[in-house]
Amino acid sequence: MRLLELFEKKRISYMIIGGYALPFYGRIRATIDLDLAVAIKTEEEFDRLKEWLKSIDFEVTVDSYLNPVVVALDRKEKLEIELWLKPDGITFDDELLRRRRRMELDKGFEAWVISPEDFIVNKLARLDRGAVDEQDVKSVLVRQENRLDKEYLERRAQHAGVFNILMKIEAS
Amino acid sequence: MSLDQRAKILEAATSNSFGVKEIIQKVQGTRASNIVSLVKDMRNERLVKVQQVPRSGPGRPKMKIVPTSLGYEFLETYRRLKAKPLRSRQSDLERAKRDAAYTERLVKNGHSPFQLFMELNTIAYNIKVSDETS
Repeated sequence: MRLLELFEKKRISYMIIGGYALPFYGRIRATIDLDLAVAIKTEEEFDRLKEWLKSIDFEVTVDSYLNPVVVALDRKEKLEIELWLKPDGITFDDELLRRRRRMELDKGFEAWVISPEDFIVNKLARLDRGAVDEQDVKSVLVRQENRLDKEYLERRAQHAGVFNILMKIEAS
Repeated sequence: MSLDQRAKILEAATSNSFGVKEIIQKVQGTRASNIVSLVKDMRNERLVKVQQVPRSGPGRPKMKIVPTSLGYEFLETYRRLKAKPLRSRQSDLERAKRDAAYTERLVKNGHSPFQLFMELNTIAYNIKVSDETS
């Protein structure tokens, strides 16, 4: 969680996505890696982020150009962190950032977590989406049943091209 | 604007030598001004580029919208995503429902799901490490 504290200090717009966000909205399932979405728009900002991570003892690897993912290995905490600059199905706009939630991860330490609606869309829009991702979505739909903003969820699902699959999971 | 509209524009630009005017005609159901602004966004995202078409006669040269290699990759990814069916069986989703109900009961009994998740993760991490070292 060292990186989250540093992001907070540097006021970098980020949010926890994936398995670490799941227990707040759905079921509890073990996951090894921490996925973070980071709002970075320009190549200059991207380069600065990489250099900064290296300077604070992270081992940095950059993945595909289409969907840049920075895999940062925290040598101190022995944790692999994936930083998503364009998380699947997610448009980094003001509405998305407004909807992320402040959650307590540890006593006295809070961090930004993706909203449940965007969590669902992100999971369904994954190219390598598997049964586990769909189960995660189902668990969020069940646990958050009357708390979800349905209009927003459906709008974002339409936008990401996963509306039909969402309807199928809801109906199952 | 949506991925669907981006894909429609890329489909049109892939199959024909279209300028913005022809793309507006091809992508129906969206206002012309929205298409123009979307094409501009797509140029900034490096999904399409504008290419000049050589002209033999007088007049301004025609400009056509051409997908970039990133645009082709986007379109292929979009098609794969569209074609992807539900991966879970009914029994998988039933299990997810039970897991969600169990987590909700833990919350009602005053437990923190995130703390329990972290404990579970520590166990999973230790197993992974011991597997790697053995």
